[in-house]
Amino acid sequence: MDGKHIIFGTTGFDELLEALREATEPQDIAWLAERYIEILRTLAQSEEQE
Amino acid sequence: MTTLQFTGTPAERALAAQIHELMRMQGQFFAHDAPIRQYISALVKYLAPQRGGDENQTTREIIAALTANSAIFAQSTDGDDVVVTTARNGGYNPPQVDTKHSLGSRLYEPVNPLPLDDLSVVMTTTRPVVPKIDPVYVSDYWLNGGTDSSAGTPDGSDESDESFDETAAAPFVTTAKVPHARRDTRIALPQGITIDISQSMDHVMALHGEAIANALRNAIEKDPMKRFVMFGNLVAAELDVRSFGKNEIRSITEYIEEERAEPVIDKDILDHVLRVGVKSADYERQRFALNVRLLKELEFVGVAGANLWATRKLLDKIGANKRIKSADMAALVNHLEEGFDDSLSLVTAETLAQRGAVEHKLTFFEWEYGVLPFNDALATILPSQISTRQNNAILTFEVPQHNFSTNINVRFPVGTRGGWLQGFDQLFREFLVPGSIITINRTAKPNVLSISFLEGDERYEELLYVDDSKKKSKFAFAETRITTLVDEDYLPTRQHVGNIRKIKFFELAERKNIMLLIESIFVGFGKEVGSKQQPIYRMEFAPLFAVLSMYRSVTRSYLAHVLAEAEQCALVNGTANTWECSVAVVSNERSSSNTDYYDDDE
Repeated sequence: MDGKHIIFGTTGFDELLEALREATEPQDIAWLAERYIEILRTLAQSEEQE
Repeated sequence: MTTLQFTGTPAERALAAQIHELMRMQGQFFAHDAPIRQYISALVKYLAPQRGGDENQTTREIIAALTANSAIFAQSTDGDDVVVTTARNGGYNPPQVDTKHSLGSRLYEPVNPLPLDDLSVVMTTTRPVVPKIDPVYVSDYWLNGGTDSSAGTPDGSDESDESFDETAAAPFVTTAKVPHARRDTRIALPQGITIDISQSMDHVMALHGEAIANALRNAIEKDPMKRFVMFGNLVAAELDVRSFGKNEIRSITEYIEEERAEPVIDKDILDHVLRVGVKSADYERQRFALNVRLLKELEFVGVAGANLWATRKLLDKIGANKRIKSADMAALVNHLEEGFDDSLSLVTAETLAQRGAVEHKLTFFEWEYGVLPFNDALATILPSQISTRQNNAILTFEVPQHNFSTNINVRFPVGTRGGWLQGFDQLFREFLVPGSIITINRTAKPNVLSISFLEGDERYEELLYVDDSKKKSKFAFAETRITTLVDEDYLPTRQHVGNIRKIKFFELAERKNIMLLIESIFVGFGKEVGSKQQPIYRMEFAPLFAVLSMYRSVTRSYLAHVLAEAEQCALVNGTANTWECSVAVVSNERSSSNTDYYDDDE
């Protein structure tokens, strides 16, 4: 996915929710921000290799 | 009308003239060039009886006459019959419709259009997206700390694809694998910041961690499906956070209001009401759930590290002061957020934070109304709110040397509105006087602070106070016990500030007009140097500041700014701190009340 098509706060939010639920405990916003960037990066790179 | 010239044999000419005359009569009210149509069968029916009665013969004669004069008569078929068309002025000429030009096409198709390489430059067939802030593209050069790692142009665009030079690129064509077109891995945050997420996580978070967290916080709060819940900096999935029943909420409310009668920390609610112990396996999840769910039920009055809860009823009692209206008080401290907070002019924030203590000289205004301004110095030791949207909190202030404690309502600064702490009335009245030097200290508990002060020899002085016993408030002096070390210049004795009674008593709402106060102080305390027609008063900066700080919260930098901006005030030539102000005759009270402004005997 091209970075221009990534909408911060919408793209990858489902994956972020999954990651949060897997953590079982409430997480700090800084932790969540890192996970979100990781998710967005994965989304961008996975389609880049196709 | 011109006479028509018919052609053909004399018989044909005569018949053609007769037919034209007939048709002219038929269309006598038509326009001269409008078509007049008639069926041949009808002409035959009319003319045949006049020409011997043979319809076939008449038909042939009519056709011959019409054909001989085809310029005047046009013939067209309509089923089995023939339609003859002519006009009053001769032959009918169908109008020629000009389809070469039209108003619509002329607007869009200019006669001499300018050359246009790309239509998308002037028009688009796509609907524009919802307007948003244009992202600020930061060059890779700067993102990489000054070294350009971008394979493309400095702005990161794939310009090389378009301006591809075959000869220059020839060596690369031989490589077996053609790389995929480079995608843009930069994302734009709603604030307009652009981040290249292909860089290392440490790099991204170090540069933009705070911006990303803030953007994520906003996105979570605005999530239309409400999939996340947040309390402070902690986030969890809505589905994983338990709810509390009405009975549980009622028990919590009763516990806070009736049993404790003060703000209660979340741990106590869990322990005493919900019976969830610290050793419980899901303690943190229960604690988070409690705080999240109580946001809709109770008032959060805690700070970072101490989640305190109160009811609205209880909150109204804490720090309540009928003499102070929030809007009035905010107006008296707004200058702190407007760049006139000089509380850190002598000592840095780092030093204060390290010490965990702030020294403060109590002004008459603060003592009288039981308030403290939320200035930068105090902010270094006060706990922070859990989010920038939190407006107030309840802190406990202790006086260890007198075993005294009280709850204080903290109004955090919001935007350009200043903040303050209120509820010190009893503490100040009981142990301190205006001019007392106090030290506010941080304690081990985030929501608890202590106030200490140096004790002095007990003595009694006649000090100023605001007499609210009657309908109209006024300044008065009363004998007051002093037990602390004080700055004598700040002590509102009759000798120091006796002249204040020559000035009208201003209600709190009036004191936001700082020029009105300054003019009144100049009249009451200044030296008259003007004439009766043009009264001018002179005063030193220090006493002016001292008196003004009795009326309202003010800083030296703010007063200096106001004086410099005031047209009627000016620095006396050759002096650094002496000001002169011309005062309008209307507000010049001195002439009318030479002695005491009040009409009482005090």
